[in-house]
Amino acid sequence: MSEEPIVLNETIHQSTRLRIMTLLVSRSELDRVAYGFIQQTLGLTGGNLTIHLRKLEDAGYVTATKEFLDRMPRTWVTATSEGRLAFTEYLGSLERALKVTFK
Amino acid sequence: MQDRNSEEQRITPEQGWQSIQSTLDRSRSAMYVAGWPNIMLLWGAIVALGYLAMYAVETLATGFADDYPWYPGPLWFGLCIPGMIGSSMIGYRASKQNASGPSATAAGLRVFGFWMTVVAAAFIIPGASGLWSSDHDPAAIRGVAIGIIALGYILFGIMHHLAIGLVGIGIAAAYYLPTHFADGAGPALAAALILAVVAVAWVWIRKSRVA
Repeated sequence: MSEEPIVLNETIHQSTRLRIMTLLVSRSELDRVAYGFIQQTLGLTGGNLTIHLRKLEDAGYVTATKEFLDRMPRTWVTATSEGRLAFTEYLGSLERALKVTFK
Repeated sequence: MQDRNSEEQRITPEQGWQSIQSTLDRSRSAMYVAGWPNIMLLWGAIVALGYLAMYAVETLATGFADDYPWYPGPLWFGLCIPGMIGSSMIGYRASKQNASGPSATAAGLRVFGFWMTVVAAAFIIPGASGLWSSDHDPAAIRGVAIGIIALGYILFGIMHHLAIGLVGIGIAAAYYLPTHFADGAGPALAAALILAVVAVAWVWIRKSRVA
């Protein structure tokens, strides 16, 4: 019987997007993370972060909302339930891929 | 261009695993150090002010210091109240700008608890050791208290950011060296050096965008 091939979610399995998803999923579902905080913590440029967030938003993994805080515009980013599920599945696939690598 | 960029950033499963681990560490520490430069500057100013006030009392109002040898207790207590209120406000504001929700609140409370424990220990340990009695040199109380505060910085730095640990070492050096080598002017010189250490650290952290 042949083993099922391991498929890593292409949307998540990319250097920047994996870090963005890790940062967002490590917080509770009720948490919102500021765009600037993601940018500073991961050391990304604004343009780079926007490109990857858009890709994650298109996949339905994150949502971005804009609001004013102390009269300053602020963008908040949250991982959706779908994104959390996809990330959990990705972790399962990653674990299997690592087991194969180190077998 | 965008796809080519993504292709360039393709990673192996091992790199993916390492990336998850490092991001978790980094994001946790980033939450804990939110607003920290301003809090550090505030406490640096409070500590410097406290030591300058003690130096002034001990050199300009020696009679007062003899009549009320316990005066450093109320002095520091009075200075610590605005410090606690100020750090809570700065920390709350900084964490609100970074994230909102239960994780951010929990991180804020944990940091607040850590620093309040350090401040309380700086009072309680000299008291429990019997140093607050009039038989002891007030310099011994200052020495123990500053050591505990510096230890707090070093421990927090080991856990979250090396820069904070270096500030702790700087504060300890800024206090102990002048106290041992500058005789009477030691406390005043130490106060000025502590303020200088936190001011330099504040500028460096702001420039390097650590927090």
